[in-house]
Amino acid sequence: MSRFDDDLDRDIGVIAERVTPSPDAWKAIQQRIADREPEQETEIIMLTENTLTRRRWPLVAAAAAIAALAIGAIALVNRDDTTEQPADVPEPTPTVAPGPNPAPVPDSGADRGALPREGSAVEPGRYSADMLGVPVAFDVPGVTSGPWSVDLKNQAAFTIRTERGFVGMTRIGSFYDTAQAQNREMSGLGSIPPNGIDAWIDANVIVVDDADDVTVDGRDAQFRLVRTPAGSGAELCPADAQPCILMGSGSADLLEFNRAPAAALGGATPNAFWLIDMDDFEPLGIWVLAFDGDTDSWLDEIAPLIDSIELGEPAPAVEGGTARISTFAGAADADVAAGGEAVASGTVSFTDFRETPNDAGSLDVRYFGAFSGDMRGSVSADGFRLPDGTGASRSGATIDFRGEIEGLGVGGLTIEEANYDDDLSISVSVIVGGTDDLAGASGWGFWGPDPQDERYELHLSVPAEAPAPVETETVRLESAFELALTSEPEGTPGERQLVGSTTFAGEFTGEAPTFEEDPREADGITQAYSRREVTGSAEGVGAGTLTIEGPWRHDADGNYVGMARILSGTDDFEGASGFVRFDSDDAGRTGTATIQLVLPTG
Amino acid sequence: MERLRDAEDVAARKGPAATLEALYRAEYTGMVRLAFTLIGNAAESEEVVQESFVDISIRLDDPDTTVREPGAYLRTIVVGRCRSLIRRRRMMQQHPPEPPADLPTSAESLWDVLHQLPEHQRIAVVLKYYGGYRASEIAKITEQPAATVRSQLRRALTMMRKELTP
Repeated sequence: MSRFDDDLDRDIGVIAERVTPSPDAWKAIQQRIADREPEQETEIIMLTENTLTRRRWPLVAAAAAIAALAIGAIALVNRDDTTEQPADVPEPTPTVAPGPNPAPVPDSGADRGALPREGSAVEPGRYSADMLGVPVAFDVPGVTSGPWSVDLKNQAAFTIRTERGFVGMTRIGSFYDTAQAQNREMSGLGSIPPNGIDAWIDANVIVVDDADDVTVDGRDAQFRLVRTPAGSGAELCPADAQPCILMGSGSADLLEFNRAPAAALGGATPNAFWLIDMDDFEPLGIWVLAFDGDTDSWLDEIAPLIDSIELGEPAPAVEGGTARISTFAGAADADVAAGGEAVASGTVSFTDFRETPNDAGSLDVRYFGAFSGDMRGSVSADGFRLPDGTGASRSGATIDFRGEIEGLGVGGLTIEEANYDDDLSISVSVIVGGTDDLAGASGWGFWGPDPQDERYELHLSVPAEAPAPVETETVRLESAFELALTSEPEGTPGERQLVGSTTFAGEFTGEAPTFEEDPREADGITQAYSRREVTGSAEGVGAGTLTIEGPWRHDADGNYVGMARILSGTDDFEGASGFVRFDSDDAGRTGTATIQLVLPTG
Repeated sequence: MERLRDAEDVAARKGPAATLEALYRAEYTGMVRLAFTLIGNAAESEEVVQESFVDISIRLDDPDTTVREPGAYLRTIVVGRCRSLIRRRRMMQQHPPEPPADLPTSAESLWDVLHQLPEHQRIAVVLKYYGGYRASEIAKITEQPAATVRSQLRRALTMMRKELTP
């Protein structure tokens, strides 16, 4: 409770206790009853005397003793004394009847500091968070539905939840309207209309059960209790909240990594929603949902949280700034050793996945999600999907990860991913860039070990000092490759060794000695990580040697995909970076190589 | 809860008279104080509550009626009677009642603000802060939608915070 609530609670009690009920009240009531229905007088008196013996009185003795002193009645009696006290003057208890379910009292005295990271338990107490630039503090009340825990949404919002429901906060700058969401157009983020939330509501299929202009910590806010009726068409929501309206920050300087909607509002169950005015900055949104549909009682339970909110002044956005999005997750303030190596894995929860036909006859792919695990944060991807006419297809994407890698810190990663999709998808990826604590990161990753897992494993290293940025130009080269084996000796049991050379022909022409091992086979998938020195020439660039390394995988049918990061180059390839993608349908013996060659300019 | 259950148990075992008596012991003082906080007059508060007990006794005695939660029913009657009284005063353009002489300053300020509030808002605030009821429970007592009660609470608290915060 806030100080104001405490004062109100105290003073209203002081007022109430200024009245002392009459000691003759019971008799007065009986007389009133008798006056209205005289025939019942005898019955009432008889029932009282005969059925409610003094033995019941000790049940309320502790409270009644105080009242007895106050009103001068002789109420507290010896258990054995059943005769001499008048039985028709029962003692009222001296305090007001509490509600049938008194609200749990939060341990508001406990200052718990920053809201802990995702998945952590949240004990009742007062927490603080940086909500995309807005300092927020609030009490987490004790509730009857069990412990709270933290859940993050794209690192751009958080919810705290119990088994009964959740409370979420984020900055709200944009909404998808219903039609745009239905059409699966990512460009459909629309700003909050100038005339506020109601214009947005009017433009959508939203039922408003309650509306009010309120204040939250002295700031103007709009409260709406809304739901989206079945059949309204908004379908891009979590299964337990369909249909819904998606919303989130639309400010690129706050969310430089993506513009994914962080919050879903709607469904048949009413959602409580506050939109708090933050002056010249994006408003702060709070949304509340009861999983069991009993919104009223859930709102009662979390009312102390809403009432206790304190809002700081919004901080100006920091262009290209650090990952302050994570500060509310208790992640960014940890001391992190500069650089290091890590194998991190996370389980992704996709919030959106869209495939849109393009003019080239393939599909544009975009998806958003959030990782939890020892890689925590948001993920967004832009890519393609190219059917090959045989039921198989290949796809690729540039993935932006934003968040925390356990032990390495907080920042961004750019990951190039290649997929070969058949009945069984296989996927490999390489890290081609990093920012903030992850500046200069390199490494590789894959989904799996089962490629259809939602678990992503990332092997990366970060230099102690970030490399100085240089201006670059990118050259894209297409070639065919062919692996010629000179020997295929048996390795250790379960392994196979491939010794030979790979030749490239096309926009890049060259040759690479090849020595590979197949160290693991699972469910027909062979996977390895290799390093090669490729010597050759590229059209329009020149000649030299590229050192590349990365993972590759193929399935039992021979569908193959490989990714190799360009580590370095010589001669005309001096300072090169980028990546090479390999696609094959004969287990990597022949196929295409797509080289994204990034060269320093000047 | 215990007291309410006590009254219900009595109703089940002992009949209407014992129920009324148990209800009296459990609720009378609290109801008088609740009424006093709402209407600001001790004598009228007792009048309201005693008449409410008469009302409920009639319902309890009616063989065709089952009062499942006599405590809740009593609260609804008391609040309804208080609301009628407040309306009647307003229609007669009566001045708000004077606060008790010995109230602390902060409570006296609260008294003034409470009696400026529209009746529904005042009832919602008193039930929440004196009765300890949640919005959904206040909704049942006042026979309004919970959303309406929340709106009343928000409006009331916004006004009260403005008036009472230095």
